[in-house]
Amino acid sequence: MKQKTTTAARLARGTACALAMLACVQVAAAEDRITLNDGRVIEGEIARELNGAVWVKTADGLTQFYPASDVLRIERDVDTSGGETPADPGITDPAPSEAGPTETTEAPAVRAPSSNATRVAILSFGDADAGQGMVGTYVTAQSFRECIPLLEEEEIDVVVFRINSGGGAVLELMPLSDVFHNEFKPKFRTVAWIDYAISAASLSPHTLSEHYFMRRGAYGGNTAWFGALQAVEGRGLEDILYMAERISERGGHDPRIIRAMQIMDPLSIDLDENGRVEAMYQNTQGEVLINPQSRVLALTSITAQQMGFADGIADTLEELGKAMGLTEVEFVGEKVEGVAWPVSKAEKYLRRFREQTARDEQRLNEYFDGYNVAIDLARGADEDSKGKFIGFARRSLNSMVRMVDNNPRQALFIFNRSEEQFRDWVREQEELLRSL
Amino acid sequence: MKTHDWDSRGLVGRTRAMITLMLAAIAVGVVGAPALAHQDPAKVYYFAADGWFGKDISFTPMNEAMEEARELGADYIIIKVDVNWFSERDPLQSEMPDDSGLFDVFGIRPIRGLFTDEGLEHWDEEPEIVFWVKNAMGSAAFLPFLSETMFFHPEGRIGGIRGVYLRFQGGDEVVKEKLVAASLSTAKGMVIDFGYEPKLIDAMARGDTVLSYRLEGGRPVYLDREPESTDEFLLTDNALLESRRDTLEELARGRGTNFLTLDADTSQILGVSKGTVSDLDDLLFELGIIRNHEMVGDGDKIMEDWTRTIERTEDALARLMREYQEIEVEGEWSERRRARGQQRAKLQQMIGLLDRYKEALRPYEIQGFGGGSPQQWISQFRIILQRLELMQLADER
Repeated sequence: MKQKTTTAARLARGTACALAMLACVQVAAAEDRITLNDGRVIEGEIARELNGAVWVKTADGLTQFYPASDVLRIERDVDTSGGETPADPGITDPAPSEAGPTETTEAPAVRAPSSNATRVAILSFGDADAGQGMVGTYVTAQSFRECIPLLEEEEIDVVVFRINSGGGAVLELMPLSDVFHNEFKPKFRTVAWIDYAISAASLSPHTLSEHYFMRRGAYGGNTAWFGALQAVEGRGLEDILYMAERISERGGHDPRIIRAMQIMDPLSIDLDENGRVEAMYQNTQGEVLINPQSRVLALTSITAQQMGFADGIADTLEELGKAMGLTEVEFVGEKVEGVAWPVSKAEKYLRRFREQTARDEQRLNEYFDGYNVAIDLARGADEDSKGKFIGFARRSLNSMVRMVDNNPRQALFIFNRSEEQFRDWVREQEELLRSL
Repeated sequence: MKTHDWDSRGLVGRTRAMITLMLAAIAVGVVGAPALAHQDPAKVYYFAADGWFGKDISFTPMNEAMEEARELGADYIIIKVDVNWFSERDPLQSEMPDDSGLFDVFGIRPIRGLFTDEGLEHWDEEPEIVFWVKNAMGSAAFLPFLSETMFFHPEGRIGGIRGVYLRFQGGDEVVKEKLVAASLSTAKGMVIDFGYEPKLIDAMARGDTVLSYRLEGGRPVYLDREPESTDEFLLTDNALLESRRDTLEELARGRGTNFLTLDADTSQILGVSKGTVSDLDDLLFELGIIRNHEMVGDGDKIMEDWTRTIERTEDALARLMREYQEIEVEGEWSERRRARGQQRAKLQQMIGLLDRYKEALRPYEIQGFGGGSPQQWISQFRIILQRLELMQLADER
């Protein structure tokens, strides 16, 4: 099954590349041409226009964003095949403010599934809007590992991690990176889809090579801290910087990018005549300043594209399918009210895992308090009435055990013990209850 | 703060309406085709998002208003933004300076989802959402950016987000900078989503931002430096330079240039605002539907009902807390049992109210309560409930 799936994914990618090349040949005959204020000329297909800003899909399949303030002139349907320019090349001012999204004539990427369709599963990396974004608590290496057999069961080719988290625990970074790199990558094409990826929520997905940004996407701000906004320093900081270098290497990213997100190191770039990154500097000497001195870098979709970090912009499943170069795609799963993507078995598992973790977090103090008070009452009670308190304490203890069964990380975060130490502690408490 | 400008027809609006009527009459006369008469009137749903952001203006009432608009098939949804801009603890309600006030970008996140493509997915046809800005300060500054169409009131302004720094008082600089960067990249993402210029966010939030513009073909070209010629105009300059720092006189008069506050004129020049209108009729005229529209629904009632409900909930919570504290557990076993039962009932009622309205409740404002979030109070009450159960178990007849 694994071999078959992988081959299918490769085939799909190969087909996508071939079609993309074919598309290049076809669009080369008539393209839109955008002249920027700095003199650069961008040729491609305008995918979207809004208030003068344009998104241009270039021949390599990437969609680049240009804010209205950068756009000097737009020429539509320019003949670039060497023939004569049409009588009315459609030169306009940058899109009038009323302009809506440009209609595209391409077939939608999301279509009725067929046996050849690439099967894609969306896995939510946290849900910050529901208060379930914390890396280490709601986003764990173990929970993602549990997804793999479910993804294989549904014959998934591409796994999209939809990032919506404000960060979390440093200690979960490497375990997450390990799961993505060692366990997901050999089995699936893996992709990060960036909505809100701050701190640990950008560092761990940095393991992945492909990043597609939602237009509202935010990515970075990785400074490690503790207590009352105190920065990690000295050896601890060096360890984290080195860890980020290794994660960057796994994702094939320039380590200077993540460094500027961790400490206040500047970042600048030089662009070639096609707007592609020619050189990157960990100082301010480049012609385009990405991160000034004394700032911590957090990318927007615009800067992510500008520096070539974003592989494309996609707000919807359809746009994502296109950006990934998939000509025929099936987003696997069932429709669930309130969720903007089909919920696969693995996604269903992750959502249930987070919900249970949230319930446990809310009730944790009850479990603790109920256990301790019931033990005290049992100690002071006569033999006849001890039983009811011991029963109460046992129920509370069982709730704590179920909490760690669902999310083993809670042993560390809540009880400050390894999972094994927590199990030992539970055995001690059971012994105590028996002795009572 | 609650206003209903759409009830009052301004002079400009009346004049424009007359001109429109005349033009329509001419058009019918010339073309002879009464197309306008046969065209269905545009359905317009209006409400004011006024009061306290995060309390009067929160997800539930706005979601209800949007749902009503959807059920009524609204073509246009017009939302007037007019938040309170004074300290909650100020009995005189003195207006705060533009460069003060706290700002939390994450306060807008729950509401944002109502206006994105994902949020509007279940509409048969997406409506045109129009924000009409009067006072969009602090956390509310991002509300108008959640649509491609924004108009300003003549006194309208967007700003007051310098508080992104003020929130983080202590701690190491690099950590504060990380938190600010995270907040601002999220804020910029929201404005990029609807086609606005993200540099404006830095200009509004960061005192060391230098931003100017010049107009080319009527469109702004932003410059990350001070103006160098007479056709370039300053938006903000660097507060870190002594010579550029706003003076107290400038700050007191709202003329500081270290932090950008968008007003009606600047917004229109920059293309952020589509126009300046003093009342709803003017706005309908600008939208081209003054002669052919139908007002539907009652969004204001939804928003006002919500405000009243929150006030009643706060009163009810204060009363329940008082009643809970007044219950004495004493007397015979059956009396003690009954008293604990009454305590449990009060706690459960408080948990229900806190849970239902937690998005808009601030426990520190409720008599008998103190600091902490509604969720923390719920958690505390659940522990007390559990203890009452154990006490009852331990209580011998």
